[in-house]
Amino acid sequence: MRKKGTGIKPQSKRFTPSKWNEYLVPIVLILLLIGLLATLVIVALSLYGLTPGI
Amino acid sequence: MQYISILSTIISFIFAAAVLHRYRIKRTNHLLFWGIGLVFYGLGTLTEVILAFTFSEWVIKLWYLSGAMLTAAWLGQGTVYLLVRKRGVARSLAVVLVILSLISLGLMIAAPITPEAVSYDMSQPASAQYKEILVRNGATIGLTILLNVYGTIALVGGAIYSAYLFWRKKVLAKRMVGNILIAAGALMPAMAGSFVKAGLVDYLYVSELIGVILMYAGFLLAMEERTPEGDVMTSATLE
Repeated sequence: MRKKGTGIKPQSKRFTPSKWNEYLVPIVLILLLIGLLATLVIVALSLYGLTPGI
Repeated sequence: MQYISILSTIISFIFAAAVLHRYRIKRTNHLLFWGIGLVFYGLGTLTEVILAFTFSEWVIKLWYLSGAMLTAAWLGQGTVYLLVRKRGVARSLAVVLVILSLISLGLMIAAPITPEAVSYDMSQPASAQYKEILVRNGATIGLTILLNVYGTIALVGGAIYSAYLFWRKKVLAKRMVGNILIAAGALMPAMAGSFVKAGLVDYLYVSELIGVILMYAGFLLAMEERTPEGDVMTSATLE
């Protein structure tokens, strides 16, 4: 059973973010994404020999 | 230094037991792969503890195999099972992962140990010394990078994606926060491991402890908010 048009199951628990969280969560997600990309960049740089050693 | 690894080991195995216990009840593949991944995580930190007291070539090989090669990939495969719904894809990737893991095992068994091993310093972390002791050929290094990139993208990327979906639809707040914690926790040793491999700063042991605490906290938080269908910790199955 799904709510029509929402794609969300009716049992799902909705929440309303506080003003603080409205900004905090996207910033945290972006930071995590940057961290993930940075990790991959370090690996790529090390493959090209641009870091002290692998 | 060993106290950090002892704590990491205890938490990792408790976490692994909790996930494998859920697997016994639910019988879903993602829990099995996560559970095995966490056992590898625990073996990685356990071998760090052992190497702080005594050196053994098999222990350092097990340290490299579990910690550097297999943990991220098996945890990431759990997330792949959860998020990739296209029939057969997750299973095919799992088969490839098992084959690559067996090759990794073979490579580690065959890996020579250098004479530098006699001067192994137990007061220093294994991550600061293994390059001089354990001979890793091109296949080993290539496989390590491949498994880690795959696992990190799947686990961290999957948790970020799940958190984003919960945020966008404004549902299951605890699971959203749980996924953020899992992503942050998984990222810590992944970044530290990359730094070590790249010959940069070494904060691997601390990152392993913080990482497993964050992931376990995320798992517990996500478990608090179960939907009638399931239990998952990185469920993005809203649609």
